[in-house]
Amino acid sequence: MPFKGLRSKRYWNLVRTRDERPLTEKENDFLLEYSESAPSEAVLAELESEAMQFFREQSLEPAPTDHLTSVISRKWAMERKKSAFGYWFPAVAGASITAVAVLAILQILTNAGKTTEATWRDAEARRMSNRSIDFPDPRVFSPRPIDR
Amino acid sequence: MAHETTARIAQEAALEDARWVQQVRLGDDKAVVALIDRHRLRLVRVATNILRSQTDAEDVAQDAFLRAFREIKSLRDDRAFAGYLYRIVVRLCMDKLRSRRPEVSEWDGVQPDEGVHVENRIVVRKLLDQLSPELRLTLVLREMEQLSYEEVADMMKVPVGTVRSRLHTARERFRDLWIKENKDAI
Repeated sequence: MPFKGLRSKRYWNLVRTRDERPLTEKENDFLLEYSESAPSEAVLAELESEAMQFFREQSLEPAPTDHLTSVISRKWAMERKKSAFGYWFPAVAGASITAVAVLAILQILTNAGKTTEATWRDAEARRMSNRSIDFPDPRVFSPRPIDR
Repeated sequence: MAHETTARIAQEAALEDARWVQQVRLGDDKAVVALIDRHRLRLVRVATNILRSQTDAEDVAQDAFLRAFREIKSLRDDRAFAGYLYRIVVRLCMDKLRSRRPEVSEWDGVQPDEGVHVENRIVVRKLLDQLSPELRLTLVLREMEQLSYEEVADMMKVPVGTVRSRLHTARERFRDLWIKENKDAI
């Protein structure tokens, strides 16, 4: 039959469509006629229908565990806290660092104004005591007289 | 008439979702709980039917809710929250199926007195494991969840034509595997 492929395609389309909507009389007639002319395909269609019926019957209706809602809401609350911390942390850290830097600069500037005589006098070298200084005799170290 | 009623119910549900979504944005914890309670049953059911494991399904549901809440600020239409949530679940299930090792096929929801039912469930899981994640998802969403082609397409982010062709292939493969599995009985 020259159009067997096309007819077979139409047959299978109708077999699958009949689960979704009622077929017209013309379509039903075609199904019957084709089933008689190609019994092997009709058997396959019947088996597919059975397989799908079996498949649909195995649909599961699980009861979610009681604590599912609380687990999810707790995780979400934690995540929100974390993200809030992550959001504010750079700003807080930046502000702290800036504050420390400003304080340090202020401190330096304030101290710079305080460099009075007293401060730099402390920095001078001083003698430990009033003992006379025992300078070494240069002749001891250099036997030749110093050429003046 | 029935179609109109279903559409009206869906519209009302979407509006209520939108109200809760706005509250979640303001940081209301009660709204978070309300949204979880509204969707968890269906979400876990969809994921369980796809993955055939309740433990995995609950993990996926948790992950999906957290992702949805994280992105809730960028949601364009608050009424579309449910669709958004289910798309996340489908994507997570797909990832889970792709990362799953083929030899793992235990059933973690077995009740000792279920007998034939357990056997059938194991058969279904075994057959589904032999389908690609795309075919498996399409088949489950269409046949078990009874979603329309448009809804499946929306959830999987593919054109309706792709859903039709995938469903065609999935039914054929499932039928052939089922015949092979039951060839003694047939």
